[in-house]
Amino acid sequence: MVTEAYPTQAPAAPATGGGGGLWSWISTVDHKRIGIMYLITTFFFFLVGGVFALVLRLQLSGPSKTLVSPETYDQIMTMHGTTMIFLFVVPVMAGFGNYLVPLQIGARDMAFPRLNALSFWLLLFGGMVMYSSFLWTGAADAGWTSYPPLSVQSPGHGQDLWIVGLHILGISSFIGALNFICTIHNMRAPGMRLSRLPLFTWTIDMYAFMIVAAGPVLAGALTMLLLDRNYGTSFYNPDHNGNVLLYQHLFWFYSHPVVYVMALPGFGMISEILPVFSRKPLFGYRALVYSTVAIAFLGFLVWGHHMFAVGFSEPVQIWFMLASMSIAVPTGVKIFNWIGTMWMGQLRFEPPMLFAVGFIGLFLIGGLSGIMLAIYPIDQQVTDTYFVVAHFHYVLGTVPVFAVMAGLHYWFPKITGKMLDRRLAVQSFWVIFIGFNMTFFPMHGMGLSGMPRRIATYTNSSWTIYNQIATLGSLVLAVGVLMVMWNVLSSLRSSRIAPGDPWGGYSLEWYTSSPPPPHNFDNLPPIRSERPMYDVRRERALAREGAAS
Amino acid sequence: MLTALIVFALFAAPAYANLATPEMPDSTNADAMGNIYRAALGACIAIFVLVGGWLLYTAIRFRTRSGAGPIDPPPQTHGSTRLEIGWTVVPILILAGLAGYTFDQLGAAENISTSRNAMRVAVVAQQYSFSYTYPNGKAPSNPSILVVPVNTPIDISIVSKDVNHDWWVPSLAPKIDAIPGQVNHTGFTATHVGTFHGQCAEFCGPGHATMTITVHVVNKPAFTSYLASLK
Repeated sequence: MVTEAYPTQAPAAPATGGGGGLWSWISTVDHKRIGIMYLITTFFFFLVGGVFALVLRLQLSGPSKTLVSPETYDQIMTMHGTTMIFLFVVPVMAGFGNYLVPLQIGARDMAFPRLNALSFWLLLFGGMVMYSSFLWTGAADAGWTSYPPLSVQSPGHGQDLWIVGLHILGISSFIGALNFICTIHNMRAPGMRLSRLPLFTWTIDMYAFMIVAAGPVLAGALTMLLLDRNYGTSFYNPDHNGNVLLYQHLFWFYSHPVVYVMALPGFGMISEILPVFSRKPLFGYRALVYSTVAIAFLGFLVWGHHMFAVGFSEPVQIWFMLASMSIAVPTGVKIFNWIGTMWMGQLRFEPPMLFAVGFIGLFLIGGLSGIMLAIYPIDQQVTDTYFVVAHFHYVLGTVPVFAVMAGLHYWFPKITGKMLDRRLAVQSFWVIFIGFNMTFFPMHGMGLSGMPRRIATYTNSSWTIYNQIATLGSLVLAVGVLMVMWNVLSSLRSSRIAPGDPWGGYSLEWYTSSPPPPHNFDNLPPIRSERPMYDVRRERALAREGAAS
Repeated sequence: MLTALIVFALFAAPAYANLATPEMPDSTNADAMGNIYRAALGACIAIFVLVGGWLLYTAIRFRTRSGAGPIDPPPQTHGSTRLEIGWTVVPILILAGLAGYTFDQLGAAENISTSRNAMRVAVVAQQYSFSYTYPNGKAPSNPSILVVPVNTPIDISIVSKDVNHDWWVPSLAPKIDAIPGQVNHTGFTATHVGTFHGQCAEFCGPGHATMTITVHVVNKPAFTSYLASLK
């Protein structure tokens, strides 16, 4: 542990300032407090989404189980996907972004602090609107994709609350994204050129641009769905010259970019953590930035690969196949540059590093099955089966349970001023790693042997063994998540005080105290490279040598 | 990583012994699809072993134990343009190779039968069953079982009455969505006599799991007499 203190910095300030009390949190416009509220809220939704997943897994643990009715299963399945995507992975990145972006660019706060508070409260409100459906006629039950005509037929008002809830969440993420863009492009400290921006902040910038570009398209699709359901319009009704596939095009034009909205900040976290725990600079900073921008751009050109079975003509299939395959190139560049960063380094396997390296290995599996799915004759065989479920959990499930966990273990000392229990953190990594692979790897086998996704039960006994392993794995995974939760809660009350820079970090957030004072920085070091803290330490070491000789 | 490899070894064998289809491919296009699948799987496993191995080797080779005392900082390399261009170009070449092989097999994997001898079967999907009509306007004697002749191109035209469905018999033909207001086509040429099972592959409501498909493939004389016996 590096316990070096930076004497120009004020000693640890009380919590995040402004006194305690509930009202001080409700009325806060401090980006750090808003970030903490984002993190608490989204981790709560993560637990709820995880409980939903356990119900699904228990139902499928053997053939012909009747733990829940098909109707209930469909609601839980819909809300598992919706919760994990819209209430956890997308907003958790806004939570980390809120806390870290102003610190990483050396700013006092976000560009629009009150708008920032509004984004958070809209997130909470949108989630509550969506979840209130359980109190009325039941939740939406047409899958997180909610294709019409099924979603138009869906009885009760669960689907309507789902649409309205998503609209509110959409506004929340949209204004949050505008705030990030304005902050990153206008509030950087002197010397913090774009070419020196920490990779996490770079990926939050791309995250924000993608939300601004894609969000309104989903809003349009959902509005038409709401009108079709309640006001007799026929946007998606073929009996009145509507088009069923219009929704799928609009939905995936939004939802494929959202895959990268979720993944890119995860990549950013990995790109922050690997160099620090390898004691090296990022290998190919520019290549990592360019590949981030390339993925963000290409992400808008490939939505049709979710629709290879809808009856496209051959040229359309071929376009979406080639465009989708091309995303493997910038993604590969990232993986190679990450390993290049570790190469010849002095690797310290602290918990954040374990989660980061685990992420690279597992994301590699998801990336490779993604190449297979881009080849449309293969996709036509395995799309809408558990092979796809396996694929997207290796791509998007690894982001929250490995990249976000890496980020949580890395920044927890900064956010709380306390160190996590290292031993417990390492143990929870291995439990999560084993549980994750037990849960999702057998799903490849389910899909290849013909098990469609979204079925509430099955009778084919050749699928049983895969499902039993997956269900057992999901319980192991749940234990791992509970271990992390226990670590977080018990460490908050522990006496393991975190110094300002426990890891020997490179970016500016490590210059200030843990937790930072309300105004973030008393002063800033000169920013002459993408690793200002490395420069600070080196200059101090040189000065010490000079004094000694 | 080590666990990933062990897990991989444990499950890869049963999962991939089936290859792309639960049974051996029983139609010409499922066969071509299987070829593409095996090529892609081979490339992906090779890449996984190489890159995953590199990651694992790096993680083990360059790890430092805590308490090893003060150490000099490692070389602060900021990148290597030559290497980075290399690992951009090589994946492009691998992907181009995969795409090229796919194009080569595409004709055979193509699921729309262009043969003039194709027997056309009209399929209508509804919650939660598929119904079939032969070219002579007759339905199968058991409405839920499609009977077709072996070694004959079958052209399936499919539409839905209510919500989206998907007709999929894994060992015979690729999936095709049944969509209201749009007639889609798929097809296959079965190469073996037998009974083949599938089920709806597009989520269609609470009964989705019960929407099954059964196809009997019989020899040609048997099919001729079957067709004649339909009322």
